[in-house]
Amino acid sequence: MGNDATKPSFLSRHRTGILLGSLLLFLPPLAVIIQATSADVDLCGTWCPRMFFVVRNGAGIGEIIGGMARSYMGVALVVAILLTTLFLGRYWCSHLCPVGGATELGGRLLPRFLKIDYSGIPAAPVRYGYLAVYLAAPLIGIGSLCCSYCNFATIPRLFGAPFVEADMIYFFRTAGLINLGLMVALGFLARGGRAYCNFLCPIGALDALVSRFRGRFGRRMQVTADRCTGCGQCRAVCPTWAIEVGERAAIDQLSCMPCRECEKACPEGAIRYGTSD
Amino acid sequence: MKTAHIVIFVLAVALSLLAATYRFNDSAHAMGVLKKGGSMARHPAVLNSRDGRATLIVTARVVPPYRGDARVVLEGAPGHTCTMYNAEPAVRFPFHHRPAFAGSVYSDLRPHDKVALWVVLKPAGEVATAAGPPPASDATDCCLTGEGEGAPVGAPSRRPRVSGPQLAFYDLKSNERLLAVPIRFVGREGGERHGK
Repeated sequence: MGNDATKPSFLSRHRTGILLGSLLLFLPPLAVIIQATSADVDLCGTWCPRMFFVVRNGAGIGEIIGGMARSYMGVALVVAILLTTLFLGRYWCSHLCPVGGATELGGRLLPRFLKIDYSGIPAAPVRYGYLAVYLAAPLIGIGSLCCSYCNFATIPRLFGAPFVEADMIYFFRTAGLINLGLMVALGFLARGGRAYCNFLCPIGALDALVSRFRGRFGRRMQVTADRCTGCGQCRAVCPTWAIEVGERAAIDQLSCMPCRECEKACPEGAIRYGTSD
Repeated sequence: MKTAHIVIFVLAVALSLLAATYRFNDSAHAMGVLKKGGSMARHPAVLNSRDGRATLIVTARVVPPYRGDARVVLEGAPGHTCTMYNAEPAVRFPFHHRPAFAGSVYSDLRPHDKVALWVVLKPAGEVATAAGPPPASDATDCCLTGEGEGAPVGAPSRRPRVSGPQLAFYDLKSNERLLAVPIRFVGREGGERHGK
């Protein structure tokens, strides 16, 4: 059930176009999907994918269900993301997420000398330290990271700010400025544009956990060991620094999203997307 | 290598805990519903506007059967001015009904509508700085200095007594209060821990 490693797929060839389409559908000024499916104007509200799984101290079952009902599109989105990831890998993160897509595409417009390389920092401990507090702090009633520090709130408002004053106001607050700083430093200025996704996105963290479980049918990026020469070209293009190169390249499924840049970069055709044989 | 991962994990937890527990009191978010008979935001919005601007974000859903026009007023906060900005789509598609906002009044609110209002509070007399947003076309200024002053006129008996600073939504016709968001102003010391 392997794939043809020499022919890039449609999703691989048109990733930039798909991401751009996602920006138009989810983000201002158009936000077509948001407006078509809810009375909201951005990803906060019905489409919020982050708040519903934050259980607050003392919350009853009714409150939890009520929270899910309030953001039912966000719930559906996260369930769909996790199910898709189980079988196909993290395609939401790599091809569809308007938030990660915005920082990656925006980052491509910036010159290389401005870029910060975060690949020296192991992403998983940061990500799961953040996720642990994200889930536990509200549960034990000592605070919350939800809403105050939110990429799904910041990026839509960054796109909306030139058009709508309410979106501009978002950034004239301490929390707004911190969010903006995080998106710039870990997003637009990060090499590959995905350091925020890799460190601080709770959806990405859950998605990465699911990505670890693949079974027989799960498709993931993988290295054909006997073809790999360990040249390291794949590592250089990986936006989530998910590839370690020793004698041969090895892909960490906890950080990999199938952007397939490594597949394109590999001169030996040693990296492919598919099921494990 | 493993030790480094553990150290980084602990650092990430410590920093995240700090971020989760510390509140910046220059903004607060309150959720509520606009409904006949009135409602109240569950917690007061804690704000510090003494050192400059503070932003109150109010999001609310219109609960059936209410429909009508609603005026938004800041009450019981002498010494503060406020400007209101309604969150709207940059390009408005006709998929859903959206109430218009002008002159601190939401017009044509219908069941299941949602409103998101950004209210910027400043100490009265503060001169606008370069850091502030440009004059707003969809913004509404309000300047209420006394308890209840500036609230809608007519049928005053239907207005509950104001016991402290609050942002209130009143039905324009009946003067009935639809939603109240209590505000608690805190001192110059700024941030506080959650739950305090």
